[in-house]
Parts: sequence; C-alpha cells; structure tokens
Amino acid sequence: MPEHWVIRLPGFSRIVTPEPWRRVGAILLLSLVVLGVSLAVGRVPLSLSQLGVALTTPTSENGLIVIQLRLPRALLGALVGGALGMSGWLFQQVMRNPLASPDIVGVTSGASAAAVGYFSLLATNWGMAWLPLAAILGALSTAFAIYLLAWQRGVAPLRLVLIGIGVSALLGAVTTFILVASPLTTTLSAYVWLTGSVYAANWSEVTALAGWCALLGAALIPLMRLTLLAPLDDALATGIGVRVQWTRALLLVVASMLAGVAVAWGGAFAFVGLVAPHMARMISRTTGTAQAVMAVLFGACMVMLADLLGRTLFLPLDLPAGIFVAAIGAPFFLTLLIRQRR
Amino acid sequence: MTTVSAHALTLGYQRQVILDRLELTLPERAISVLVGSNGCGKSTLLKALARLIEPWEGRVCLDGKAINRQPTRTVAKSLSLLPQQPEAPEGITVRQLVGLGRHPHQNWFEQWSEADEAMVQRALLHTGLNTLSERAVDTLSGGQRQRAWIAMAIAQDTPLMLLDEPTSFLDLTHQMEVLDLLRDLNRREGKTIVMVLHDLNLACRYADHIVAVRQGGVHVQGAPKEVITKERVKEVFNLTCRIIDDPFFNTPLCIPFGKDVPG
Repeated sequence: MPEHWVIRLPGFSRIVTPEPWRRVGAILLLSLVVLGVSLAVGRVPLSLSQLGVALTTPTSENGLIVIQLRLPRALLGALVGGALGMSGWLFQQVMRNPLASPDIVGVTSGASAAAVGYFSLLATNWGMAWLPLAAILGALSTAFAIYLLAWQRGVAPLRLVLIGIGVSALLGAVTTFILVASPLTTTLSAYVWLTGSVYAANWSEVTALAGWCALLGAALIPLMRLTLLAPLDDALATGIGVRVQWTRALLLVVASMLAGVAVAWGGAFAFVGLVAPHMARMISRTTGTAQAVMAVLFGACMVMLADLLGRTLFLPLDLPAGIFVAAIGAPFFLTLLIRQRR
Repeated sequence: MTTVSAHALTLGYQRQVILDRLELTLPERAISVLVGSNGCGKSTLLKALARLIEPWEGRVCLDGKAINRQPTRTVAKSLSLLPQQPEAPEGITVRQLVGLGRHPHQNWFEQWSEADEAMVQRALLHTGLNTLSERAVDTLSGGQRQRAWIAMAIAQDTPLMLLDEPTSFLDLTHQMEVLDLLRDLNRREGKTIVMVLHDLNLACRYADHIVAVRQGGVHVQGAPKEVITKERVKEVFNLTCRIIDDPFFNTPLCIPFGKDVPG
C-alpha cells in the first residue's frame, strides 16, 4: 500500500496521503446510515422496503412524511452541523487553540443576540423571512468587533480567543435582557431557537442554506492551502512567504460566515463547532483537508442524531435537537479533556 | 547574488529603542555570526533582517531594495528563516514539515512538482532524516527536531539563510552536528548564512565573520581572529577573560574568568 499518491499533470501537481481519505469514506458511510435511520424512524416507523417505496412515490402518505417532513429536516440538520463543524475547525486552526469554536469566541452569541433582537422587536412587522440575514449580520459584525478589539499591530491568536470570550459574555447578557423584557410567547420561541432546532424544516430553507454552504465551500477551495499553514507561528509563516495577517483575517471571515449561516437556519447550537473538529482530530491526527472534511461530517452526524433523538425519544413530544447535542457533546468533551490531562 | 544590509536601522518595542541607527552589510557566501550579551538586540537585528519587524527609521535591504516593500513571497525565495524555538503544528510529519519550505515556490495548481520532490528529498538526505520522514515531528528528539527545521529551510532553497540560535537547548554533540551541517551548506553550495549564537568559542570556530552587537549598534565586526580579543570581550560582554589560540583549530578560544581571577 503506497504511503502517498503523487498526481502530476502538466501545470498541476499534488501529493495525497490516501490513509485519512479512506477514513473519510468510512465516516461518510456512517453519515448516510444516520440519514437513512432518520428517514425511517419516527411516529410512523418504516421498514427498509417501505422507505424505498416512500422515496419513489412522493404523493403517497409515507412519501409525504419522508420527502416533505423527514428528509428536509435531516438535511437541514446535516447542513447546520456540517457548517458548524467546518467553522469550528477553521477557528481552531487559525487561533491555534483547541478551545476555539464559534460558540466560545462569541460569533454564535453575536448571531443569537441579533436574531433574538429581531425576534422581539422586528418580527411582528417584518415576518420571519429576514431572521437569517439578521443572524448572519450579527455573526459578522461580532467577528469584526472582536478582530478590531484584538488588533495591536497585528492580531495574536490568544488575544483573539480571550477577547472573544469577553464579548461573548457581554452579548449573552444582551440576549438575556431582550428575552426577559419580551412577552412570554416571544420568549418561548426565541428560547427554542437559542437551544438550536431544525423543527418543521422545509425545502426552501434547505435550498437556501445549501446555497450559502456551497458558496462558502467554494471560497474555501483556494484557501485550504492557507488553513493548513495557519497553525504555524507567525515568524515561520512569514519566513516561507505567507501574508500572515491577511490570511488570518480572510479565514476568520469565512469561519464566521459559516457559523452565521448555520445559526441563522438552525439556531444557536452549542458544542458542535467545538467537539466535531476534536472528533476529526482523534480519527486523523494530521492536519489536512481530510481532517476538515471529517469535521464537517461529524458535525452533520451530531446534529442529525441529536434531532433524531429529540423527536423520537419522548414521543409525542418533539424536543429541540440542541438539548441532545449538549447531552452527547458535553460528556464527550469532558472525557476528552480528562484523557488529555493524563 | 543575494546580499542583505541594514542602513540607519532604528527600531524597538513599545517606546524603547533597541537598535539605533545601525549600519551593517554582511559578506556574501560567508557564515556570519551575531554575538552580544543578553538584550543587546542581536535577535532583534536578525528578525529585522528577516523582515519580521518593521523599522521605525532606516531600512533593511535585500539586493539593494527595501525588504519591507517587496512581496513577502518574493523575499521568501531568496531568504529563509529559522526562528528561535519554533513549534511544529500538531501531528505534522517530517516530510510535510520539510515540504512547507517549498511554499514560496508553489501555487494553487502546483503543489508537488518534481522540483519540490527533489528538493525535499535532498533536504532530508542532507540532514540524515530520510528514514524518519514519515514520523510525526513531535515524536522526534530535540536534535532530530532541530535538523527537521533546518531541512525545511534547506528545502526552501534560498541563497540566504537566517537562523536565530539554532543550537540552543541542544547538547554539545548535537550543537556540533547542526553547525557542521550549516558549514557544509556554506562550503558546498555557497549559501550565505547569518546566525545568532550564544557560545563565543563555537562562534569563533564556525564564523567567517563575527558581528558584535552592543547598545543597539555594531560595536565591532570582522574575522574572529581580528575581533575577539580580551578588550573587546570586556566591552561587549562585560566579562573578564583571557583569549588563547585553540591548539587544534587555531581559532580564538575564550577562557572566561568570572569571580576567580588567576594571578
């Protein structure tokens, strides 16, 4: 078995280590299994053959359940989780800190504060259509503010994390204030949103989020090379010709946008952005594109699984997936920390 | 040909001036060693020569052109840098680390050309790391790791190499190994090497040109034999010593006195 594959065409060359990509393949299969189970399980349980029939006859009763209810919900969950996984991986690369993630450095809090503000102040007049935009703008402007506050003839990664944590606390307070000051019904739906939920997802939401993800994914293709250099210390990176500050700013924008769109359509999921990249790192220690793809897939699996649990475990209750993400993510994260200390 | 020089170079941290109107032109194809006491500014000078710090006044020139005005990738093709105590990204293998040195020669399309592969192979061979190329850098010993970093700089394939204390935290055997390797590169390939060293005796052994930095300027420079005298050492390091001829290598050998001054 070769350790590397070398691809050489005129004007194009790459060296690929196949080993981590094989694992990516395995995790992709796992994700598909999770997706399949999500489609089959629910108040109306379907066997494999029934699921097959349902998928091919969209107008049948089971077809409606699977194609109009379960599939968009699972896909929205996968997209939200995938975007958060990628965002977290990028934050951890750029900030060179295993604790960095969109929810810890304050980007999610920014999106939440903006969304909750929109919820209670503007939603009655403008409807819910603009909520995603508010969340994205919230995420971006928070990232921008953190960056400016951290600037000192350039931005040092640790300073970014610390200032992010401070800003996050501040925005948390703003969110709580809005919640407390709003009427109870608004507070309740805002609260579900803050937990993170893909309840009642429809196809138009899926296509909108998929569009954003495709756009940001495409932006990452030429940047991938730089993400792999981001963990190098500044002096070394400059030494091999990397424009360190420019690269860092660019990657932070993409990472914040990814978190922003995920939060916009799925709510403020905690832990996914933090834990998914760690899972990827446990499977493949070497940083590389394969590791990033694993973070995406693990994020997708986490949210799909959490939503599956949320809507089946306490039937007929349909609980927000965010609860279960924390329920799976937190113990996992603690084990990780305890193991690392030894 | 690649020359590096500093003209009226003034810079510092916060408000404190570290280098004050420093003038320096380093000889090509030679090994230059910067020496001086702690905090004299020799590491700062090396960083400024590597364009890591922007001067307040004056400039650093690479081939006569201001280094901070040139695109950093262009500079990276003629100048490589090994910072003090660099840290490798988690899980990176030796081959990947050495491959990073090829970055300035690559673009999005070409990321592993034949030239890249050949240079990485050569760097691994030079540093004796070819059998360790698939090992993770963080599992290597201190001496091996330092060789991996030097291999990365070699793979960058630049006529000029700057190294900040490449031997610190290595035992004597590995210090000699690293210095021999660098001298090899200089003698065989004509690379210009500029480094900061703490050990004055090793500096005398390996340097063609010694630059003694004191109070933010170049106090004295030249061949070790001309520069290293007990008067100079007293001025630069505030150390009483005696200089004798190394009986084997005929370079100056400094015997520091400290508290015990023999009659």
